[in-house]
Amino acid sequence: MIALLKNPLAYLSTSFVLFLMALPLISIGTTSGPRLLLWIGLVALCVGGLIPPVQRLLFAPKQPPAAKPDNESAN
Amino acid sequence: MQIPVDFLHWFLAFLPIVALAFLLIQLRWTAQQAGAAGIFIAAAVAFFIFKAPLETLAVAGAKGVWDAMFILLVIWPALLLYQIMNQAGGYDALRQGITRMSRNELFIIVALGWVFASFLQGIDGFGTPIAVVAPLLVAFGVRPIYAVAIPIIAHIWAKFFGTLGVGWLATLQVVDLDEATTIATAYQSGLLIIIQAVLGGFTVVWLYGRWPAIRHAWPLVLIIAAIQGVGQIIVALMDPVLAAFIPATAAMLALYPLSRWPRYANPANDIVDRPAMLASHAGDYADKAPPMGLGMSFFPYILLTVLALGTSMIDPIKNALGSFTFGFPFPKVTTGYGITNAAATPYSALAPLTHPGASLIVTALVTWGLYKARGYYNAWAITAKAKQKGVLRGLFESAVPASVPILAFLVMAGLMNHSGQNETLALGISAIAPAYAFAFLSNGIGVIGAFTTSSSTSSNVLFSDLQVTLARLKGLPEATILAAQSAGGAIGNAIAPANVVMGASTAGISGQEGAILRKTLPWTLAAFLLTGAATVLLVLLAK
Repeated sequence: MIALLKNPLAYLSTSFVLFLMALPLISIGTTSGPRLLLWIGLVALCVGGLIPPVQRLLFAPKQPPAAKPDNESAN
Repeated sequence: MQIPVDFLHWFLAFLPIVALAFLLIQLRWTAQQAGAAGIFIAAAVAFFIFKAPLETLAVAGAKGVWDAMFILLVIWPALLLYQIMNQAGGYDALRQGITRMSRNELFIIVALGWVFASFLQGIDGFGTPIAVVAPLLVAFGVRPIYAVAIPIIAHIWAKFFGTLGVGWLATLQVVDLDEATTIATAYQSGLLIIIQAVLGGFTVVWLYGRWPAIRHAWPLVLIIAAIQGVGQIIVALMDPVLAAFIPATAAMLALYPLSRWPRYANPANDIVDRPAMLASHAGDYADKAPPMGLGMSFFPYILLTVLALGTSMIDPIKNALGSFTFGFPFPKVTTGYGITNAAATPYSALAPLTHPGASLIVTALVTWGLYKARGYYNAWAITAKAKQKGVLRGLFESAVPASVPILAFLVMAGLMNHSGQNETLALGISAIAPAYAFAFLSNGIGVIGAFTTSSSTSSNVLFSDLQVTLARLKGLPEATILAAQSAGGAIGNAIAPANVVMGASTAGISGQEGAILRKTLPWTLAAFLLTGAATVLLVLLAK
């Protein structure tokens, strides 16, 4: 799990797939299929949405260097 | 039970947007992190304050994911085409073809910084114009801060209809308009966006060389702005998806005859003070020779035009391809305050074969095969002396990070919409703002949306429904207010943190974002004021 959250492409891909999975599950679960699919889909939506902010909270980037003064004329 | 409109409910309905802005700007979270956090804030407000049950939240979220599909179907093929072109040296061939046209430094700045950046926005978008053009301008001798500010300001006019109409398609996904209002919205959006084209062109020239540059380049600016701005209106009335792409391409083609005009073929020696430049553009710009010529680098965009025009304007083809549609069904859902969304079977059906993404996919695959057969990838890898990461890997690495915030923003927009938060915001603002004041300020809501989300599309997704609701409450024409929102959503990109940070990083001046914002902020304020005045004028004309 930690390794996953340290790899931006890996955790964003996981989030992406979970968002996509939620769509058919919730649709089927609220219309023709068993209600269980609705709750599985809702969980997928929640976990997919939780991953990016949780990654931020657990692995906040180091403070960026202070902005330099506007020295554009020296560029 | 009626939805309550008081300060507490209005503030809590506004909370997801405030939180999003705070996370993005103050805490510097990425769009993925802030957007996803926004989902939970919107969901908590919806569940605890606006009495939306879990099933309603689930359906709203799933509909948001489906709404995002219409945008993702453009993002992925567009980024695929970008990788196919970039890794074959196609963009270098395009850029070199442009720079060989003239010995006039200002003409080249206009060609690269304005016309080429706009062309990229017409087809690729999602920050590509800034990421590609800023380093090109630095290589050409433009000071880095100006090299970022110029493409940011110059490509704004192509934001709403750019990337094959992503902003337009996204807006239509979140509002319910009849056909006449839809056409009026496209037309009036084009009218308001002319301000951005003219103001953008003159600002680029001003940044380069102040008044002497304006005196030298005003015919050039007016010609290109007319092609882009007026062209956009004309095409928007026929096919809004191509409304930025075709005039942006026409402006690219117009560079050739303009470069033969002696005024722009020879150096402009009367422009002495050139604050944007580090050094003179002395003669030819020596560079790595790309493996293809200008014609071959332009091939995919010609093919794309043919395919897009064929599938959208030839009725037998359009009808045959459009007969295949699919979508997901959803039940009727409601909240404790009686906000109800009807059942849909299916909800917002997608016709994938007539969607702009289909033309993009075919173009990308044909171009990929052609370039591979001609050996461009190997040749460019040797010339560039760098191992290419591969087209599919490059696509994956760029498209996934771009897709997650789109999904998150659309899920958040769905939650706010289904729970009645947007309606509360609309009713609250309507209660205190007079009609004409609201018309003037309406594009400012779009500016704020783009500033907070760094995306004109996200701004439109978040606020279009609110703006239409407000227009109805105020007795203002819906098309005009929606056009103002669309124009404002584009303008706000000039100060959008993600754009500025991306430009600064690709130009090698990370940490100097404040200096870039000082260049783009005055333009943003001027565009906001002019658009506000033009919106009031359109309202008066419509009365």
